[in-house]
Order: sequence, then C-alpha cells, then structure tokens
Amino acid sequence: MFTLPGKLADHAGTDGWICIVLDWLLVCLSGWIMLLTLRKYPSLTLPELLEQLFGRWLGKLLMLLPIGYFMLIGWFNLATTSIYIKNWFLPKTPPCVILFLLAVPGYMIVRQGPSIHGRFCELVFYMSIFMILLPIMPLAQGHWLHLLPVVKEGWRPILDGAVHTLNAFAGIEIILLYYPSLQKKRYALHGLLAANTITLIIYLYVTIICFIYFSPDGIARLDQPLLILMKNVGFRFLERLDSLALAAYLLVIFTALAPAAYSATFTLSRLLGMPDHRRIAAWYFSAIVATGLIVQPTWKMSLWWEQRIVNAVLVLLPFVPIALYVYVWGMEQVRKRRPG
Amino acid sequence: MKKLLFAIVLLAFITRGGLDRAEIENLSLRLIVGIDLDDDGNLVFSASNPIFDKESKIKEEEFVTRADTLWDSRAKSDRTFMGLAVSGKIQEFLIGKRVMEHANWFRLMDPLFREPKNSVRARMIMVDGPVEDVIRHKPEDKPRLPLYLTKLIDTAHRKNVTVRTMLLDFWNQDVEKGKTASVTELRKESRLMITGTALLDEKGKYRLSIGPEETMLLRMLQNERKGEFSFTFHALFEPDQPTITSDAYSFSIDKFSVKTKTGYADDRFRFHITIKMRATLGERLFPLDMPRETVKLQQDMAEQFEDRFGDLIRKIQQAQIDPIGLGLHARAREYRHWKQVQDHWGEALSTADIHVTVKVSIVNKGLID
Amino acid sequence: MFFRSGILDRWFRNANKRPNVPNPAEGTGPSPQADADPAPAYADSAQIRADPIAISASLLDNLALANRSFPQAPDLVIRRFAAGPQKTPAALLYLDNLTDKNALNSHVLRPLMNAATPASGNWKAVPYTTIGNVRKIRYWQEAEDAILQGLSVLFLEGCPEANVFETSGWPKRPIEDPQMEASLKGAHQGFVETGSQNIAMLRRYLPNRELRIAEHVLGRRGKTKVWILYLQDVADPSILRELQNRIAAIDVDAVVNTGELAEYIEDHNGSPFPQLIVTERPDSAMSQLLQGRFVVVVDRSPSVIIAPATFTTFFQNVDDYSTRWLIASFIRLLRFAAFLIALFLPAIYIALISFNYEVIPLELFLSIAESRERVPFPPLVEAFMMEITLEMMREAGIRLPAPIGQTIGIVGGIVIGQAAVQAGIVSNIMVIVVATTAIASFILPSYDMGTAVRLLRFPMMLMASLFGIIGIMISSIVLAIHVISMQSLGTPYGSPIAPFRWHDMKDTFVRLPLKMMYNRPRSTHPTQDRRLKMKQPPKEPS
Repeated sequence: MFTLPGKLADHAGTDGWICIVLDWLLVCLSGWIMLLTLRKYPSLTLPELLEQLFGRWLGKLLMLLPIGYFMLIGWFNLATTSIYIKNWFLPKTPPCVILFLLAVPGYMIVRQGPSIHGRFCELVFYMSIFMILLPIMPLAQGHWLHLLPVVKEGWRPILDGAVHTLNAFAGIEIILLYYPSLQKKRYALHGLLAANTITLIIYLYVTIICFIYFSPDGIARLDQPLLILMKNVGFRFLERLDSLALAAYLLVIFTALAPAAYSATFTLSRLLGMPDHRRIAAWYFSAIVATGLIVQPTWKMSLWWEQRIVNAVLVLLPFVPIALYVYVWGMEQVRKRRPG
Repeated sequence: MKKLLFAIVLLAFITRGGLDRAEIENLSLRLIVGIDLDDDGNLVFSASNPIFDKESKIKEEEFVTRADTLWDSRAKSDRTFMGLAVSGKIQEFLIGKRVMEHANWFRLMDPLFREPKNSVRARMIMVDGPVEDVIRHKPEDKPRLPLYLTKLIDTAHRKNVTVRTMLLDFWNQDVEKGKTASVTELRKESRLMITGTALLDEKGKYRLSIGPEETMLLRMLQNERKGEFSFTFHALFEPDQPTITSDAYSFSIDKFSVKTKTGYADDRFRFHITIKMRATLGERLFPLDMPRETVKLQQDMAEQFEDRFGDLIRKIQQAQIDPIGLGLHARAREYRHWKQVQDHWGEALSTADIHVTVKVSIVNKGLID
Repeated sequence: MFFRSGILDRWFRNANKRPNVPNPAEGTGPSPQADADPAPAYADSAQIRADPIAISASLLDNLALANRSFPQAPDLVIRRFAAGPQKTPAALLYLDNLTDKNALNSHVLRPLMNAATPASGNWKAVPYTTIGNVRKIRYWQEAEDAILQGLSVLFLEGCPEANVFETSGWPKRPIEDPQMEASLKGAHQGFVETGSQNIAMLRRYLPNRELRIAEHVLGRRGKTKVWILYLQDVADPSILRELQNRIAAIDVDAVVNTGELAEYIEDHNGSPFPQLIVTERPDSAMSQLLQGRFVVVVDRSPSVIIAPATFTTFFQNVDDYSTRWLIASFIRLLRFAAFLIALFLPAIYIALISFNYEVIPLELFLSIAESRERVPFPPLVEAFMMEITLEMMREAGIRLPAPIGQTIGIVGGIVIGQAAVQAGIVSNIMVIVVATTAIASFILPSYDMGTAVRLLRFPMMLMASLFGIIGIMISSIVLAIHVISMQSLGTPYGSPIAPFRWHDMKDTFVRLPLKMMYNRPRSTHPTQDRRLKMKQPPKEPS
C-alpha cells in the first residue's frame, strides 16, 4: 500500500486512481468465477477437489502449486516487512533478528485456526480504523487540480498501470481454500464483494490523497509517498506520526500473513497426512528466519520477487478461474453424454 | 524439550538487539543548519545544537566548517560535538543569498529525503547576508535561537508578512513544473528582521524579493486563506493633505474567494482571476457618510487592489517566474497546450495575458460610524 | 467469512491438555466405600479406613473405636449419660468448639436426659430430640466424618445405628464490607468463611426457584464442600457440565482457598491474565448469575469464583450500575485508558527516548534531555529501578498496619522520589512516568487483572529498550493473539471485542442506560434472552 501511489504515478500519472478501479473490477469478476466453480462442489476442500477433477496423483501434484504460491506470499510479506522495519526503525539490527521478531507472532497466530484469524482480523480492523483519518490533515495544503484533466494521455497508460499493480488486490485466491469451511455459503459473494470494496476504498483514498498533496511531476520519484506525507502529520504532543503509523501498520500485515501461511501449512499437512499443521508451521517460520541468516533481504531482491509475484498473479487471477470453470463444465458435459 | 530450545533461541536473538539504541542525551541534535558560500566560492556549512548540560552557561553551540556536502559537514561536526549528530529535528534551514543565486542548489538537500529519520519539516529561510552572523546571534532577551526563529517565522506567516515553506513543500514546489518556489527572507541588522519573501525560478535560482504587502497580495492570488490580511490604503478620491495622513484608511480582509479562468487564444494563455473580498474597516482618518458612500469606498479599494495586483503580476512576468501557481490551472484546463510549454513555463507565462478583477464589499465597519 | 466456534474451534483450541482421570466417587456425604488407596497417617486410622467398619451394638466397643480413631484429640468430648425413661447407656461424641453448645445442650442432651420427654416410638423408647436435622448412620467412617465436621453423634447401647445431629457451630466472622472490593453505593456485605451462610446470602439476592445448587466435595483430607450455583433456565448446560467435570477431576489433599480452586479449574494456567472472576461481593455474584454465569462457592473461603469470564468483565464493577450512566461510562473508559497506560507508558517512554526521538515535540525534548543529562543510567535500568522500588513499597504497604502503611506510602513516594531526583539517580520525568503508571494500575477493579498488568510491564519495557517502538508493537501483537486465543470454559476470552459482538458492546466500554439492556450478554450463551421489558405507564385521561 505504501508504494502504490508512486508506482501508479509512474505508469499512468495522476490518472492512476482509475487503475485501481479497473483492478477492482477484474478481481471481483475473477472471484465470482471462482465461486461459480466452487459452488458445484460445496463441501470438498481444494485438495479433494483437485483429486476428483484430475485424479489422485495429478491432483496431489497440482496441489503443490497453490501451496508453493502461498508459502512464497507469506515469505515475501515477512521479508518486505523486515526491510521496511530495517530502513525506518532499526537500521543496525541484523535482519535475521527482525525476521525472528516477526516470526514469533506469525507462528503464534498461524498455529490457531481460522476462527482465531477471523477474530484477529476483526480486532485489527477496529483498532486501525481511526488511523484512516490521519492523512486527512495535510490535505489542506494539497491541490485538487492535480487530478485534472482526467484521462489526459489516453487509456493505454491506465491499462498499463492497472496491469502492473494488480498484485495489490491479490488475496482473493484464498477463497479457493476457505470456501468449504464457510457456514453461510449464500453470503460468499457478498463477503467477497465487501472485502474487495473495502480494499478499493482504502487504496483510492490513499492514492488520491497522495496525488493531491504531491506534485504530479515529483510523486513518481518518491518510494513511499504515504509515509513521507505522514511525516508532516502531527499534533502538539506528538510531532511526526510516520514512524507510529508504520508501526501500527504491522498489525495489518499480520492479518495478511495469517491466512496465506495458514492455508499453505494446513494443506501441506493434509497432503502429508499429518494430524495438525502446527509442526509444519513451526518449520516454515524457522525456515524464514534461517533465510534471513543466509541471505540478507535487500530492496533489490524484494523488487525482483515482487515482479515475479506480479507475473504469477497476472496469470492466476484472470486465467486460472476461467480455466477451472471451463474444465469443470467440460467434464459435466462429458458426464452427461456418457450414460446412454 | 521444545520449550527449552525455543527459550535458548529466543535468548540468542534478543541479545542481538539494542544496537540501534541512542538515548537522547547522547544525541547532538542539529536544530539549525546553514549553508553559505564564502568569498572563494566554497560551501560553508554551519549547525547550531542545543546543549543539555546544566553545568554549561550557554544554551547552544555552533559549528562552522567548509565541506562538500551536507553529509560531509555532519561527519566533520562529529569531531567536536559531544554526541552523534542527527538531523531528525531540524527546525530551520538558513540558506545564504549567494547560494540561492546558483541554479539547482537544492540538490544539496538530497540526504534529507533519502534517510527516513530525517525531518522534512524544517523551515526554509533565505538570509540576505552572511549566514554565520545569524547562527551566532545570541540575544539575551530571547529564548534559544532555534525556538526564537521558529516563533518569529510562524508569527510572521500568520500575519502573512512572509510565506512559510517547509522542506517538503519546497521540494514539491521545486519539482512542480507549474509553480515556482518562494521562501522566507531574513536579514540581520541589530536584530533579526523578516524582510519579506524571496521568489525563485524553476531551477531554484533567486529572482526577486517582495515585501510584506506584496506577500499578502501573492497569498491572495494563490488562494491561501489562512492568516490575517490587513492593508492600509490612501483614498484616491480624498485630497492629499500634508498633515497627519488624513486620506488613509485601513481594513482587514475576513474572507475572500478566488476564481481563476483559464483560456488559450492567439498562441498565448489567458488567465482571468476574479477575487471577491469581504472587508472589515479598521481605521478611517477622514469623514465619510458611511451608509451612502460605502460604495465609493469599496470602489476605491477595488481599484487600488487591481492596480497593486497588476504591478505585482508585471514584476512576476518580467522575472519569468510563476509563484502564483497558474501553471497548475493551465495543466488542468488546457492540457495539450501546457504540454508544449511545460518545460519552460516561466517564459510562457511572461507572454500570457493575466487580468485580475476585484470586488470588495465592506461587511463590518466597527462600533462607530 | 462467518465462522462459528464449533468443530474447527475444538480442533484447534489451545487448551491445556487435561489428564484423563477417571472420576473418583463424588459423595454428597460420607460414603461407605471411601478411598481406593489409603493415605498413610496414623497406623490405627489407616487400618480403620481400609475396610468399612460397622457401628457395633456395644457402646463400649464404639467408644474404644472412637479413642483409637482420635488418638491425640483432647477436644473430643465423650459425654456419657443415661438416655430416656429406660436409662439406656448412651454416649454423645462431639468436638469441642466445633459445635453449637446451646443447641447441643438444650435440644439434644436435655430431651434425651429428661425422662419426661415423650418416647420416639423407635428403639427402646428413646425420646425425640428437638433438633432440626437428624440422620441415622451405620458405618464408623460416617460417624468419624460427622464428628470432624462439628456434628454430634449419639451412640446407644445395643443399637447398631448412630444418630447424627446437626449441631455445628464454629467461630464465625461478622459480615463486613469486603476489603479489596470496596464500593461506594453498593451493598456493604461481603461473603464470609462459612459456605452455607454465603449460599444463604445469595438466596436472599435471588429468591427464585430456578436457582439451582450442585454440591461437590473436594480434597481427601480437606473435604471441602464446593457448591455451583446457577439459574437453570438461563445458564448454558454444556458449560455446567464442563465445570462439573473439571471439579470432579481434582484429586488433591485439600483445597485451602478459592484461589487454589481457580487455578485448578482454569483453562490456561500459564497465562498472566485471570480467566475466572474471584469476588467477595454477593451483589456482584448475583448480577453475574443473572447474566447466565456460574458461581462457585467454596466452603471456608470468603471469595467465590464466577465462571466463565471474559477479558472485559474484569473492567466492570458493581458501582457502574448504581451510578448514573453517563458518569459510569466515563469511568469505564477511564479504566480502559488506565489499563493501556499502566501497560504501555514506561515502555513508550523508553522507546521514544532511546529510539524514536523525532516524535517528541521540541520543547518537551529539550526539557527531558536536560533532566536526563545528569542520570548515569540508561533508561531501562532507571525504569527498572524505579518500578521495582515501587513494587517493593507496595508490597511493604500491604503488610504494615494501617497508620504506618499510609505514612510509608507518602514518605516513600514523595521524599524518596524527590531525593533520588536531586541526587541525580533518576530523572524527574521518570518519576512522573512511574507514578502515573502506579496510579493507573490501581484503578483496575480486579486485583488479578491489576497484578497481571504489573507483571506484563516489565517484559514490555525490556522489548522497548531492545527494539524500540517495533518491540512494543510486536509485544502487543503477541499479547493480543494470546488473549484472543484463550478460552474460559468454552467461551472465547476476548469477546466481545474479538469476536466482535455489537450487542454486548452496550456494556463494555460504556454503560448505556439500563433501559437499553433488555437482553442478556451473548458471551455467556444464555438459553433465555430477555431480561427486561419496560412497561409504559398508563396514560392519564386528560
């Protein structure tokens, strides 16, 4: 979220906010198609579903793909967070120590089940909702004129920007794993739309404020415009809130980490036939800390991985649901024709 | 067993912490940083740090050195300051006029944006004279210099005697193609005086200074409504009498609104700015039958305003700068034409047609007639 | 995504694994077949306990047995007399000072010794006694238990049964204001050490036929009676079962006071936070009963346990409901603010001073720096020193008698603090921080929660001194996850904050007017919801 306005401005100038809306549309559609597929098999978890669709061995093999993907996302999340912390707060502390600090609550929350994740997300939501109001303060120094004219260079840069920032919305594929555990499946679509819309509103809000405050010529050069903007936010008793805002954002990071890491470890443990996922979660987090010892996470590395993830998401979000749906539909047609 | 292992690992990691600790009494906080050019054209950096020790009699110490960059000067100052020099709470930047007469001097400020801990809330001040004099100024009847300067500038800004540009705002203005930067101007005579605003061009080079009243006009054109706007005019319709200035009147503007219309014709931009003001009469040194002749006074005010605005705009156009920010309007409304001239907007503005219309209404005339 | 705590929750629940102990026989009175394995004691008593002995018809045999069972008990009184018109040799056994002398003398001995009292119609025409509660027993173990509990046992020559009379009366404390939970406007009665009196007090507060009492006996030697009270139509039966199972699973020598019982039955022993409310106030217990919770009264202990409890119940106090709702809401918010201050203030101070100085406004910065300049210690050591000194003063103040205790508080606080600042050992900002923290931690109405906060302050300070604001953040996240994942007898500990229940919020951070609280809080899963229905007063014909 912090680098989003900068990247958008880089690709699409001040029309970047339209990219966000486009992304939102795409993700909602993709989620809806996923739901269509999942509705046909309401009580099968993803491993079982894959087994049924593709046969036992191929299904198990295919299962490794989402597991790997989620593990990567979890690791990436933690590594990027540790880079932020190292830059902003603790420059001299070795990165593996920071990773360890992050891994401890990470493990604590992943070893619980999804109901605890849900409680945690609720709690974080209510605790961080007031932070939303903080960036309003420097708004008086901004110029709404920055946003005009709309669509100044045509639609192509906007599409370009949308494509490159799609991973900001990537999280919706969790639904593939959580769907069978839902109790009120009728509301799955509502939940999906609500979650996406909340994300949309927050991103739009942040992006538009950054565009208004910073000059359009300069914003593309800033790495984390929101945080730099927050440097100017302050009260009489607390002068600069950027560090505090970033520290509070840690909470939100864990809400993103928990479902991804949990899905990965849980499905892996089911695949391997283990009774619960806690041991795998312990190994996973130890591995993350160990990579911090071996390889120092750097900004460049994070950007490189981000690029890979963006590419993966570009394939995943639009195409995989459609492919899955078509495949399932195809199988149904075949089955219909088989009995005489 | 597992818990023991975890405890050992925890201990091992925890003991590696605390490397970034730096207690505040061990810090040498740079509160004012000054950049100047000496007679040979070398960069001279100065810094003023507060002293926390109760045993010392003076409240701050300064350090002046020749260095190549800001970073370099900080490293050099570590040789004499008692603590680590940090830039997290810089209150003011004093830039000498000689420095500002060079283009792109702002690049010296680069590390302040790169390091996350640095402050971007420092006030930018141009010093008309040697910076060292100002930094070493230690008046006995005033608080510490950094606090004193801060209060001075904030108060002057509230009265719209000068602008207040923080570092980040300056960066914004510097990068922005549609607007040129403006900073506070300071001079040291027997005491520190704010003389007005210094206007810079697109490359940050110093162009011209304007006084307090012109600053107020500039702020109005920029549609910055905070603070007080008070003027003293001489009525054009009253005979000029040599005794106690008896054709003068003063008023303050409570509210005003600025509407800018942008157009493009005949190969140049056209800006039509309409300002509506509501004034409160503060002083009137000649008799006037208020209920019937208010219109006369209002017209007088409007005319004088338009003249003054015209003068200011002519000055600005002659200097080929745009502190008002008309470029933003141009970009918003006439994007295609803007694109052609965006890299030399000052020049384009100097040929533009800028017309200001003012409408004043006196809403409050005070307790007496 | 809507999840209910159900299958998934039980699967992932982080409960203490309880050993699967087969339920020993829980008696509601002295049972004939008492213990499987004998506890080593006096050799004779062990032999007696090993196999159940029946009361013999011979009085002398019984008396010999008594002397062997109570070998060194000079307070055992054996009153031999002739009972009834036929002058049957009889002996009344009781423990001195454990019985109510009045009842014993007037209602047992007198009618028995008085030949004029009408005969009881059974057994050798022994007269009736005028005592209320009489039982017949056949086994020696029951007689022993009865004597040990202050009842008196009557042996008659030639009768193979003994009579047990309810004459218990032991030294009791008058009912006074509970010390740790003083209230401004509530009742000034507190529970006492006699379980039956406590139950009587609760019955006074809730004279309702739905109030049920389940009795258990705990402890092999202690034989402490424990009662679970609940409202049948409101409380959740599954929680009752869980509670009873846990109490039945306890197999110890004795449960001395309620705190020990709480530790045995709570879910997460290792957590610093209390999961069961322990209170001495009957009005508070009553309001919890009405919300669908269970009250566990322990004999010989003036505190009762209220289960299940959630995190926010420890911030509620009886006074909130006696004062007006606006002021009550303000004080509730003050408590939560105090909780945060007590937990975080020293840590935030250390973090800002050591790591994130740019957040402090400039004037404050300069004054803090000036005052810290003279202190030779790093802020963590300074903070630890002050906090530990404060804790020592607090503990000392508890043990000292009242007038000295107050003086020590003032002397310690003001004089020592001031002297320390002047000597340059601590900075005056530190003294302010520590004092504010101390005051904040006193505001919490629950002693257990207050001590939890006092304890948690120290690791928080340590993390702040190692990693600054990030350290504080990580510690708070760890704490939050810990609180959220706890259960108290099956209810989520963090409710109504997480899982968020809008409905219960009416009584958490603020106390909305009573008219708006017409349903019971959901966190206790009550089986009957409605508690209030305001009727409109009839309109006067104008």
